[in-house]
This record gives sequence, C-alpha cells and structure tokens, in this order.
Amino acid sequence: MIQLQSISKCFQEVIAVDHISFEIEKGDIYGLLGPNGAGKTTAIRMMMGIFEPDEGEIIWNGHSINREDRVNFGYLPEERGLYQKQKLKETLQYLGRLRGMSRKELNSEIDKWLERFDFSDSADRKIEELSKGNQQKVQFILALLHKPKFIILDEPFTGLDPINQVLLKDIIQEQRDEGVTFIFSTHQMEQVERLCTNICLINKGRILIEGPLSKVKEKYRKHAVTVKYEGDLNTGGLEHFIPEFQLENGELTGVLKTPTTDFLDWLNKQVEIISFAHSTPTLEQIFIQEVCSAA
Amino acid sequence: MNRILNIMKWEFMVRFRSKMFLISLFMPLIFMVFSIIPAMLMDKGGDSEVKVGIVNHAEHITSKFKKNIGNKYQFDDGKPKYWIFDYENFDEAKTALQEKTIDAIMVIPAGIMDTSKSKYFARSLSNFKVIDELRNTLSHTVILQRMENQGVAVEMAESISKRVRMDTFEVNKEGKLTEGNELMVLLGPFFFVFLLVMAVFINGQLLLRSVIEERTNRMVEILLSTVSARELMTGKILGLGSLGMVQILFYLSIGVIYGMVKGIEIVRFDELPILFIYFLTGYFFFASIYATLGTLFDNEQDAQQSMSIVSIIAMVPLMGSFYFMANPTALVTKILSFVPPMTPFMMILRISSDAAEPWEIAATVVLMIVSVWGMMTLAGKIFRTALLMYGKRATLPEIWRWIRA
Repeated sequence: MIQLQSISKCFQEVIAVDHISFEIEKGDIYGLLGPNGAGKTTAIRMMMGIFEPDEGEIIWNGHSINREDRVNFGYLPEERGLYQKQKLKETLQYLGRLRGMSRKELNSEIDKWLERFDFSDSADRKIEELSKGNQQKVQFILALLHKPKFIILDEPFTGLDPINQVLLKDIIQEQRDEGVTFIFSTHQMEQVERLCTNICLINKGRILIEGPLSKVKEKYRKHAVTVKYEGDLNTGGLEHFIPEFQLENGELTGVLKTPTTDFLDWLNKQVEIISFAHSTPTLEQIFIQEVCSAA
Repeated sequence: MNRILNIMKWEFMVRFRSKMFLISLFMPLIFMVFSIIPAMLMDKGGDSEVKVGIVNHAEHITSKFKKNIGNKYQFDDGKPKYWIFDYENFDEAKTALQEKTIDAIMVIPAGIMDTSKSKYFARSLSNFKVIDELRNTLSHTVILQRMENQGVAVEMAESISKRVRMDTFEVNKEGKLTEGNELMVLLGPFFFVFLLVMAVFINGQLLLRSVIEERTNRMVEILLSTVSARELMTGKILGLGSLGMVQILFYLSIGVIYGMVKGIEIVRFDELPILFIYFLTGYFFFASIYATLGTLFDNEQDAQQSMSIVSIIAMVPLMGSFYFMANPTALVTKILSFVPPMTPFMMILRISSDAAEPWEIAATVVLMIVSVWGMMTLAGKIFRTALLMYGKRATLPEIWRWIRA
C-alpha cells in the first residue's frame, strides 16, 4: 500500500533519516519505534508531504506519491495544538472542507464522532474551554474525520485516562477491520505489543529491526535467557555476554549477544546452574538491547 | 484552488466575527474624530465673549479701534463679541488679567502710526482666532487713519482699503468646475493613502499574528499535511486582503457620504479602478513580507522590531504627503514613485492630485505587478522552510540559502 524506498533527509550537517526502506500492507497497524531524536517524526513528515525527501521515493499504491493521494491520509502529530479561540464544530468543519469533504458528508461524520466521543453538548464550545485530554480527542477526530485510508498516529495515548485509552484502541481496531492502515509511533512498548502486527525500530536515522512483531520476537527468543543459579556471580564479566541484564533472587534474565554455549561455559565456572531456559523477550527488552548495542 | 478558497474563507470569517475587527474598524474613525474635534473647537473658540483690556497711549486710534471692533464682531443676537476696558497703566491691567477679570491686554503705544508696533498679552496664546481678529482690526484702523491724515475721505479710504476676496474652484478632466475648498483638495489624496496604510498595517499585523499562532499551536503540521505552504500563504493573504477590502469599502462609503453631505467630491469615481490596483498591489507586497516575518519569529514581541522597520517604509509617503502633494513633479517625488514599497502610496497621492503622467501610471503598475510577483516568490521560499523551524532564530545567511534553493 505504502512503500518507503531508501528515503533520506538532511538538515544542514545532521542526517535525520538515512536511507530508510519499509513497506506497509493494507489493514496493517505498523509500529514505528525509536528513541528520542531517532528520525521518526522526520520520516512521518516526509510521508505526510510536509517535507520532501532529499533522496529516495515514497510509493503509494504502485505509483510515486503526490499531493492528491495524501487527501486519503490522516495525521495526529505528536506536537498538539488547536485554534483555542474557535468553536469545536467549526474547527472540524474547516479541516474537513480543506480535505475536500462535501458539506452533507462532513456534517454527518462530525455528528457521528462527536457523539462517539461524548462531545455532542460541546459542539459550540470554544476549544480552550475543553480539558487537555478532550482536546487530544478532538485531534484524534481530526485525524479520521475525512475517512482516510491511511492514518499516522504519533503518541496518541499520552495524556489520556485509561477509559479513553480503551476507547481509542477500540476505534483503531474497528478502523483496521474496515481496511484502514495505521502507522503508530510511540514509546509505550506494551501498546505496540497489543496493537501492532509489524514494527520498525530506527535509531540515528537508520533501521535497526524491521518485520513482523512475532518474527522479531521469535528471533530474539533464541537470545533471551532466564537462568537460576546458586553462588556469587561476577557481574563485571557478565556484561560481555549480556549488556543489559536483570538479577533478582538468584535469577538472571537478559538478551544474549554471544553464542549460548560460550555463555554457559563461562557461567558454569562462576556459579552452580540450577535451571536454564530460553524465554520470549518483551519488546522493551529488545528495544533497549538494540539501541544500547548500536550506541 | 478550492483549498485556497477554504483557507481564505476561514481566515476572513474568523477575524470578521471577532470583536477585535469591530474595534479596528471604528478605531481610525474615532481617532480621526478626536483629532478633528479640537481643531473645530479652536475654530469655534472665538464665539464666546472676550474681555480685552487696553493700555491706551494713542487715544485717537483706540477710540476708532473700539468702534470698528464693535461693529465688525457681533454675535447673532447683536451683542458684541469683544468687550473693551481701559487701563491707565500696564501693571493695573496685568493684575486684572491674572485675576481673570479680563482675558487679554492690548498695549497701543503713542507712536503706533509711525512704528506700526503694538503688544498683546494673554494667559495663553492658543486662541489664534482672537489674536487674528484683534490684529486685523487694529491694522485696518491704523491704515484708515493714515489715509485720512493724507487727506483721503473716510468713505473713500474704506473703499480703497477693502480686501479682495478670492473664491477657489477645481477644474476636472471634463472641464467641470467645482467650488473648491483647499483643505478638501489636500484631504482627498491624504484620505486614500491613509486608507492604504491602515489596510496594510491592520491586516499585516493580523496576518503575522495568524501565522505565529498556527506555528505556536502547531496547527501548521496538520494544515501542511493537507495543503502546500504556498496554498496556505496565498489563502491567508487573500483572506485578510478581503477583510482589508471590507474595511476600505467601509471607509470609502463614509468618505462618499461625508462628501455628499458637505457637497464636495472627496472620491473621484473615475480614478477608483486605478487606485484599487495600487491598493491591491501595495497590500500584497506588504502582506507577503508580514507573512514571512510570522515564520521567522516565535512570538509577536520578537517580531515587533522587524515590523517597525517595514512600517517606517510605508509611513514615509504618509508623513511627507503634504510635501509630495504640494510638489508632485519634484524629482524626489518622482523617484520615490518608482521605489516599489512606496510606489502605491506615492502614486495614490499623485493621481489624486492629478499630477501623474499616463506613462508613469502604466510603468508603476507594471513595476508593482512584477514586484509583487517577485516578493511573493521570495516570501514563499522562506515561508515554506521557516514555517516548521522552532526555537532557533533564522540567520540572514540561512534565509539567503533558502531563497537560492
């Protein structure tokens, strides 16, 4: 559906995005992950047409993307803001019309979403009179008001209470079931594990991991270990095998960066091993492992 | 195109419905009224009684002066405007002036027939009309007396010294005569330039504020994902331009109504189309500068300094308007007419004073169209790049690089 072909973007001397390529299929919820300053927002802005890539190409449904294609895009930027002095409904109408919606369709969609988000009584209130969380919901409505086929959500859950988080998640899944494709950018790894089917982890403008979440986890399963032991463990030497590890009550967990046999040989000399198992790592563990080893 | 129209409509409606717009619409009027009222009051100021103390050293002249001023200045009900009191010496008169028994002192010296000198004292010298009337009457009295001394009969002396009245008329292109009022002839062109300056400043400021607001509330991210930077800039400039047109039409109709009531022609309808071209090109030229400034600063306070530089350029023709109107063919007037930021203002002044050659009108219109095109292209390049830059102030070399990109 959308394909990034080796796109790059520089700002003066800084390379914000460095030859990134990935492809997202229709109906996918694609997680775009990375630490702060990794280049996620720049990549998103290039997809949205706010910046043009310096190199590479973005393909939409088989052709090079153009402005008209982007009418089918919805966007919730991480930087939040609205016209504070304007009324809720009028703001929605303005942006809906900018995206080419007819008056009739626009009004019925606005009524539908205002009701869904319990805003029916607030339609004529000024945005500044709404709470921060409610303003965030208004921005979420703005992202999907014009029935886009592709929606980019940058940190959609921050600042929302658990009830509204569930509401948002339900809507994302409903839309996905109707064939809408999502890019979901966040630091909340547990949300990604719950929602995304494919992920891409970028750091310093480059891709570290890319592919189906299950495969990524499966790959790291071979490396993720849980060991129970008895005796005193020399943690100084441990970092050579597991850069980021947890030690608790004689149990060691972490992601191995060397062959398992080398690690077991070393460990056997240190302590008495009671049990050893491969475990499925959390996405957070993978994230930390990859970003730290790349640093 | 549809998107530009939508942005234009939004920018127009949001401002049109705001209280600030109403205030900005009536503010210049209130300002004008308040600057006219004191002048009118000053003009009418002589219509109350004035008590003048005379320190008399020339009995003959003084008695004739009293008679003349009594005859000449009377209220509608026949009561005299000037009440004259005699004083033996100046100190006595001065005490009376300080105690407010009298409003002014005239000292008429014995040798006034030869020296032509007299003195006037008052608590304030601001009432020009009173000073003028007293001076004219005294002067007239002395001249008559001199003629009489030369053997001219009183009636003849009166008729010889009678002042000549000159009625003024304005002749327009069709040869039609209109009874003129010099002040109004100056006021017409000034009125148009004032309109343009108001439209440029008020809407330029609104434009700048609107760009800064969208940058600060980050709406610009959502907007730029839907429209291009150029569409956004054009829509905004057109939206606020239409608002400016509403203001101009409003003031223009007030001008026309005022002119009709007073029986004078402030607005020449045949000149309107060309004046509108200057209005539009002038507005677009400055609007693109204001829109760009909005992208270069994070808040209005920071933008203020750069804005005042732009404003001064636009203010030059307004401040010098009376000189340019009095000297419409002077070299400096002609040169400034060909300096793009000032062209519209200068040409409006000159056309309304009927002092622009057709070739100059044609050349400056072409010059303005080219300048607006150039300025908008330049502004568009900076606007596109600077719109999403936060925190860091753009430097001149950076701006130069964006322009060349």
